[in-house]
Amino acid sequence: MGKYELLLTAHVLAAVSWVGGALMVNLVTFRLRNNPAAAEPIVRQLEWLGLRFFTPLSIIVLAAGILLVPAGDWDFGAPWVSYGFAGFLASFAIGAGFLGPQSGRLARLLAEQGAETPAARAAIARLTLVARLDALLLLSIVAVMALKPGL
Amino acid sequence: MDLARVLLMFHVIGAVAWVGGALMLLLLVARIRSTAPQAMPALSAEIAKIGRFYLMPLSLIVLISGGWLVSEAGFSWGAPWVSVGFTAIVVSAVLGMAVIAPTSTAIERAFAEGGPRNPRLPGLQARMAMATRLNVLVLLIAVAAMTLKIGE
Repeated sequence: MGKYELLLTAHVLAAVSWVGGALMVNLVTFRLRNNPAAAEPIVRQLEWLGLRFFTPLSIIVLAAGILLVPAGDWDFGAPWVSYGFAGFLASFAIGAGFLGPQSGRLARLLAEQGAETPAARAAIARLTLVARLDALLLLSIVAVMALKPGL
Repeated sequence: MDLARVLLMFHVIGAVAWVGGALMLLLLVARIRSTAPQAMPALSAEIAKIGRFYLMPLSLIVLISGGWLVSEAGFSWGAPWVSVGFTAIVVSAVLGMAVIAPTSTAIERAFAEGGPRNPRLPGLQARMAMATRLNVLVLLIAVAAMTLKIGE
């Protein structure tokens, strides 16, 4: 068991928790879409999850991923490595630029108006749509990492 | 692109969705139980369905692609990291069918019958929390054993 295996384990465990967790949040909010009273407390957790769960995990995935390339004699220019980093940057931009700020705004909106108003429903729909696209992007990165096209 | 890589992709995607999903459910239940217990009946009902129609099929994808991958890639069935993986799937399936699914249904029923103050709820929720924690721990250990390839 060497440095490469330890880095790979950290990379994979963090990716499993991050991507699988994001998929599950999307699934639960989708399943509860017609029950705003039940969906509201879960949507309120998005800001907390983003800051305390998804962000630290994404940093572990990135740091371990960067260290894995030289440790495994991989090439930063390999298509599957480039796709992984490009996908990470896109997901980071979506999270920091939209999901984070919007989930904070949505939490305040829900606290003031509840989940039944048209404004709250529209905000939930917007947030969950972007979160679904982000989860699909992450899933595609996992697929490319496992398939390693171009290798 | 060879068959082993395609099988690995299914195995990894299945494991990501299954293990990460189970971990997120554990986290969501803990957060919702402490911040909005009134939402627990609806969440418990969804967890029961998610277990049957999402997590269970994912565990089968992981099991089938994993077994096929062992044969296709020429790994040894007796290798410790392979044995740990298969043992974890069996333990998780038993926990899911024998404890998690029936307890989830019992929680939903207890909420429907007596609301959030039903005296049966704390015991059921404690059993559920312990079983799901154990399940996630077993699965995370299996993922770590697979990537570390212990015993190789």
